[in-house]
Amino acid sequence: MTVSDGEKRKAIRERLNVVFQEVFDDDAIEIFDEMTAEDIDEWDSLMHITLVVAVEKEFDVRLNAAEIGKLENVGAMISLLQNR
Amino acid sequence: MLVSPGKRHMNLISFRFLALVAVGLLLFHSFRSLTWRRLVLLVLNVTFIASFANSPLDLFPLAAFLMLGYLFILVAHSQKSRMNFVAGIFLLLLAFVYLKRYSLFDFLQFWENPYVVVGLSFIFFRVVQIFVDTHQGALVERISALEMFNYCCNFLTFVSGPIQRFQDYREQEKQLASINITDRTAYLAFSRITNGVMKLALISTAFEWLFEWMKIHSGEASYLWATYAGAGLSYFLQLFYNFSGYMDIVVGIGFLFGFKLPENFDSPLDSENFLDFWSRWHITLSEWFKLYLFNPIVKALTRRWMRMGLVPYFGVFAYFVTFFLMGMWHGTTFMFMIYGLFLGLGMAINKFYEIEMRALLGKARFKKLRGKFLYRIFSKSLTLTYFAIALTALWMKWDTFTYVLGRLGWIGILESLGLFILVIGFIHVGYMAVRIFLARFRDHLGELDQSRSFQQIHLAARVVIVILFLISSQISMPKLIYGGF
Repeated sequence: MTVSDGEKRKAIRERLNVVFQEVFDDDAIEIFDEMTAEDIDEWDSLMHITLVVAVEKEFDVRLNAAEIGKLENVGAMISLLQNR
Repeated sequence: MLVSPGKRHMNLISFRFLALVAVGLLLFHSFRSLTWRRLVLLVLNVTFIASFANSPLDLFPLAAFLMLGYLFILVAHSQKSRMNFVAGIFLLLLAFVYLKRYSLFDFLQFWENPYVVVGLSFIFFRVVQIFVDTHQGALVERISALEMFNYCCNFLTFVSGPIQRFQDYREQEKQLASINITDRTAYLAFSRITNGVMKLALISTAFEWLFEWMKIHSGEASYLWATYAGAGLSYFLQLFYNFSGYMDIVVGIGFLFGFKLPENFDSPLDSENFLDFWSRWHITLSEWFKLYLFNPIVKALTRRWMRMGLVPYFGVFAYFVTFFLMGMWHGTTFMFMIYGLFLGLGMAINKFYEIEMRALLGKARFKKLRGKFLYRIFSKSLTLTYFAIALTALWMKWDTFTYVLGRLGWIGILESLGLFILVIGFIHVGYMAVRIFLARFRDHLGELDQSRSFQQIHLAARVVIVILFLISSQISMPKLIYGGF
């Protein structure tokens, strides 16, 4: 991974963190790569889609059904956004 | 008649099927060439499906459905056209509903010839998945006709799933040439298979017997509420062990061919509530509906009105629609609409309850309440009770349903409910105690459990039991309940 990749990832993480805080209405949330639905109580199927819609708006991307289905953790979400 | 009459198709615990698997395995592992192994799978799939038909004509509708799907997928691959997408979904759905002969469409002139409809529901899910993913750009590499056929008509998943995603199947299928059976794989495979046969042939059959006995006696019983609760519970357990036994068998055989099929169950009897239940019961079906129906509905609503206060209520609505349709998918008659209503309402009410309780108690206090022992036992029992009652729609006709409800009256319904909840509650507590006891027992067994000779003796004993079962059950083989859906 080059330095610019690392910087890009960091910037995405910061923007994504704000999205998480807004969607789950919790300013204390600090995301990390291994974070999954297990780590946030309200993160169920419904909130997952709400999160996806918020992410799509923030990053101006469209995620398809297969991409949404295979997002296993926050790290995977960041990688997906980095590659778009 | 939907399935060709007079034909003894291959039951998963018949000697005919085991012979097919044995010959298939020998051929499959004779050469380590991908083309050879693909061809062996093709022959296995065709032989298995042909066992359902009396003549090639019986298979024509199924083949036509597959070809229709393949054509739309080819078009979606070469151009991203919204018209092709809408037309594809519409025509595939129409063809599916027509071939399944939904009673809602009785006014239509159905094709008179008997034809094979087994497997169609699961083929439908697979075709739609490839089509949607191709259209959305998630499937870039073109799919060949052989690949499409072997995936959609895989003899292991043909009758009742699981609904494996094409991408996962393709990844495993490409590695077929390097598959080699080790001692460990064989042990795992045969353990799963013998587990499955025992669940199907012994436990499920015992509950089937109990269910039939209760059902026959419920009409004349003076304690109708008790016999109804007994029959409902027996049917639920029969269905669970039947389907989970089937899953064990196909997953086990899958290991021997180098396939890791997705699991359909994750201790559903342990579910904390109805929402949780559907993430543990028939997982691949609810995952499919989540990806291709629930998610798009919620996405469309939140895109239109992105207000966080409204989102939970979008969920209530989307759960209802998704599970109503999922329930209806199980069958073609009016009773399946009732089943769908039960599922849809159950999910919607559960979600609504969560929203209101969170608002009323606050997140933290609601979480604390959910952790309390008595609350959990009651919630678990209520969940299974609700599902067992919903399942009534699968074994009772409308006339009997209204007759039983009428005879039970409000008091009887409440008594049945109470009995259901109590019995399931006791089973839960007992089950927890047995698990704690077994965990201690396992600690004592220690290394013995891990030793190879112990595993071999254990497995040999189970194989002998299974063979005895197979011989004794040749006269009346248990049917696969989900095969009829």
